[in-house]
Amino acid sequence: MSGVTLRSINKTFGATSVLSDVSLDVGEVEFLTLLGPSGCGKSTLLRIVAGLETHDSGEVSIGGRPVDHLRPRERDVAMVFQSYALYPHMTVAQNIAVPLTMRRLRPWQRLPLVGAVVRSVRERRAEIDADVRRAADALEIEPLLDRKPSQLSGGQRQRVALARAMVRQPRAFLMDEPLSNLDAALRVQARAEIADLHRRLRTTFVYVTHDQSEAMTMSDRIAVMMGGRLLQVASPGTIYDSPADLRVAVFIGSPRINTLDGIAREGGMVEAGGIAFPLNSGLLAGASLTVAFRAEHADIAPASDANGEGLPGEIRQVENLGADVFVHVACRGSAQPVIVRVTPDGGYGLARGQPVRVRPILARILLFAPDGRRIEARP
Amino acid sequence: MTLAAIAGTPGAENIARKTPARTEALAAYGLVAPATILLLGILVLPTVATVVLSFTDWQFGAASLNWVGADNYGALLGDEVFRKSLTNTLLYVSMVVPASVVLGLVVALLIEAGTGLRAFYRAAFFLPVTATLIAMATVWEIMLHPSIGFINLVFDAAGLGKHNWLKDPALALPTLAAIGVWQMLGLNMILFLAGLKSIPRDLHEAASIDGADGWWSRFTTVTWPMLGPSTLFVLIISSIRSFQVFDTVAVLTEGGPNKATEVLLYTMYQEGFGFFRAGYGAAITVVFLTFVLLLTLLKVRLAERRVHYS
Repeated sequence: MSGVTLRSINKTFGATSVLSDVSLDVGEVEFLTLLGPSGCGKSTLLRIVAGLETHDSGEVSIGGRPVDHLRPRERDVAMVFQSYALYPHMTVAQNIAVPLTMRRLRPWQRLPLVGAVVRSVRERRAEIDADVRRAADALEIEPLLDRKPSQLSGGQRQRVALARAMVRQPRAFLMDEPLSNLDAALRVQARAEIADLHRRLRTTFVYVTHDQSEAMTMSDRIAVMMGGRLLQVASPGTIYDSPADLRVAVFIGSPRINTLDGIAREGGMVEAGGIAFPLNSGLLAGASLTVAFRAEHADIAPASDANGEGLPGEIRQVENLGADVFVHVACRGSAQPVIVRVTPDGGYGLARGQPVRVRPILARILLFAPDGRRIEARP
Repeated sequence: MTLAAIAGTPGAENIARKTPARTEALAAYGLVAPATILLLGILVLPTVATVVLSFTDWQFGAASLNWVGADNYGALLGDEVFRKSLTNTLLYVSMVVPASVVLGLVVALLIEAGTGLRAFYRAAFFLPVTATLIAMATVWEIMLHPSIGFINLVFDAAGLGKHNWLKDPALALPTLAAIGVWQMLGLNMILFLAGLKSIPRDLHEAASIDGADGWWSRFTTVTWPMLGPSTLFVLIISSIRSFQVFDTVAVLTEGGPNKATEVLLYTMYQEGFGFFRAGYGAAITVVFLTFVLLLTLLKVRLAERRVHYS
């Protein structure tokens, strides 16, 4: 049994294709993050799962049940919106109760005063109240139940939105950038809370964000989307260390991954930045490719090193962030300066204008074909 | 000069500080002056003059006037025509306001829900608001003509018989009210459309996921509560505008038949400019202004209290 399954989803708005052939399996108790730059189609995909948007072709199932023809309420999902979408005229308690009253009470039973007259309605209202309190208790917002959303802070509103989502125990939680309206400190705290909520509820979470640190810290798996396509679906560690596509490698990680234009040479060598690396790309000699490595997978050697190992270059800038020092080195074969992370001790004595050599760790060098596809290199 | 010498000069600081402050104050008065003068000249002074006149026996065009105290108001109490006029006005308001607000909302919801011809419907319903009511009243007069009018032709064809819409005492005021609704509907519709546009789409989507996806539950959960501020505004504006009914009465019925359509502003006009009893007319105007003022105060009170969410 699975949480959410997508099969070959396609979607166009007019002439623009927003999603092309997206297939994805989200486990029953998995926290999956859809990560990508704005406009990549991740929100549209989430809205298709929720039933707020229709797809042109493909199949969506939730809990093993096809839901393509079902309306949002029948899909048994809950959604947390970026704006929280709380009903401003209702108290916090009423907001959290809406999903329950809509499902457990018939339209005439929802009318005011019916609860005072009809006993079964009164009993059902009491059950709803108890469930609302339980959800509020879980998110520690019980003292706020009688307030209106306008009297709450951003962080409190976000908790109310979460409570409204979890009160009904839906089969899947859909979250559309729920933290982007919070300030930085609160975001880190809310990140931990949502991850904790997932552990407690043990159900499917599909989380949309453009913030890679949210994706890296909370998810079981990350689905990286660009231009309406899924580029890679894997654990945060795999996405970072072993990206399947150059665009994934560039999108994930700060500072940005270093890239150099390279050429495959005979005898299992790759030439880049003026030197040859013993990397077997499996490509024909003369084929162009991209050589990439992360800032922490290289070190800096003095230019005077007799061996002459590493990419020759000149320091452009030394950024000291306290725990780390990022050294920007202008190298041949790279349009942007190559960034190397060194420890504060290692950065001591490095200065702008100094000629140095950048020595990447051979085993951590990633090769990409011109179309962006990853090439497994055998050193 | 040394620093000590400058600091020691008595009053130097004060002069330096006062002059810019005074210039600023002058500029501020200069900037509010045009608005203040206009408000005084157009709004406050005429109102005060009307209130003062209502305590005199001034005749329109007369050279002198006498102070009569509250006599005009005492006379109003015993005046059959005024009582009829006040009742008719309240009746008219109670017919026009609910109908034009509800219909305005329904039309706005229909236009918002539909896909095609939105601009056409908006324009069609808004047209009466922009048209001159005097001219439109003449058109209505022809439409309502007992023998050749379009409306009677339709009623006759439908087997409902012919009616003398404007001359039948039982029908005259409702007929004017119907024209009032026709005229006011467009404005209410536009105000409701603006209100509907300002409801965040997220709220409708949250409601549909939460289970409120039928039109009635969506309307009661999101649309209607979120239209609270618009509805209050529309209600007050419609009430004030229907209190002001005059044009149709003046053109179509002149208060008749047998005072059946006598309304406050028409009575005031008759007293002031027909019978030249300006003092008495002013007293009627004060009564009218009191109603409008009460409505405005009600709006301010409610708007402060409940209907605003943010």
